[in-house]
Amino acid sequence: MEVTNKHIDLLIPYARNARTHDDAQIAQIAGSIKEFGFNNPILIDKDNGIIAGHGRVMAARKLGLTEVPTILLDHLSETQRKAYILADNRIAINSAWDNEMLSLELSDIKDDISLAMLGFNVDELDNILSNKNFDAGTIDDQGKLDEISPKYVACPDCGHEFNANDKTTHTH
Amino acid sequence: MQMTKPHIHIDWATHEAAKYACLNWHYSKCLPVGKLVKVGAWEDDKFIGVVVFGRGANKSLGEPYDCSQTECCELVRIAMTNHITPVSQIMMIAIKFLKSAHKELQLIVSFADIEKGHHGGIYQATNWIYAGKTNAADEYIYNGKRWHGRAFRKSLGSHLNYLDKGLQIIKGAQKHRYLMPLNDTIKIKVSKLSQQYPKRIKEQALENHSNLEGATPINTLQLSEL
Repeated sequence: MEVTNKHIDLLIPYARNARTHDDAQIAQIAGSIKEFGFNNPILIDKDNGIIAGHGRVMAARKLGLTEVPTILLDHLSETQRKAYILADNRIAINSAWDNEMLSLELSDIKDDISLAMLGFNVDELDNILSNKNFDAGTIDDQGKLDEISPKYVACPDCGHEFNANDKTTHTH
Repeated sequence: MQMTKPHIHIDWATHEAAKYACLNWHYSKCLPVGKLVKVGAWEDDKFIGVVVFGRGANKSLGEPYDCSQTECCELVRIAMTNHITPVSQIMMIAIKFLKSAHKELQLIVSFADIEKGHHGGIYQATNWIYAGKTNAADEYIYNGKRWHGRAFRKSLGSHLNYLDKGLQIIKGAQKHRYLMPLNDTIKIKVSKLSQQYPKRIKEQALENHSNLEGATPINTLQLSEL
């Protein structure tokens, strides 16, 4: 497949693109392009309509790029094109992380590169890198499911405190 | 190459461990609130997840089975990371562990979320009783966001009455209900509610498709798809 650089203004976003990109994610993509380069070309149809890469185009604009790499996909029917736009986004999020491997990889690079640009949020990074191994708790850490704890309330009429979970303890 | 069978250890888990497991390894990304019993699992001393039991969404969880609030609980989460021991085995040991400390419990109820594509394969593999689908609960759509009915009503309280503009009430998805009796008396009682296990959504779709009018696939074609 041939990669062709195209002027960014020639590319036409798909009006019915169902995938959304918020400002924070565009900033993440821009940071990634700046650090690693534009390594994932925009997929376009014969009319320069964007098939995949709306977020990358928005990030390129944010970075002030005038040209972006593109790959022409002219073998898709209209229906296939529509389906691929969805599939390209959906299939990618079906994969999962091997947390142990991820932790090892992040640990290897964390001193040389800012992990913030990888798309993980701070809490996620804390969790992954801490490589938590929890010790066992005790029975005192658990709720008692076979007991109803008394719930003391004051009677609005006489002020007497009684267990609301056992209404027989207070009658007028 | 055969993988070495790890030593599995089941014990109480701390709230911190349960929260971590649910946030990182469960599709819901949350640990329910309220009274919980968290049973943890360790393979060769490495924490691999939790099985969490709770009181359930409302006080009447056990009512259809003549169980009081203290006799019935809900299995609310199984949150596991990569592990070798079958999850069905972990779950059943966790249930025994729970029962050993909560003698009054007679019945565990659990639900499989149809909307998430779950049919309860883990419960079927461990012989739970299938008691049919739940009724669809009300859900709310407000400001473009979908809210679980109870959570929405609880968070808004009486303010709910002032939100009628732009508030849409829809019927949420049903769930499959499974029951695990913990003694023979309750087993006899709930066995009467037993229904045929639901199929995987994919299997159900194939079955529906084969019931449509048209050419019946020949055997060789069916076999070649296996």
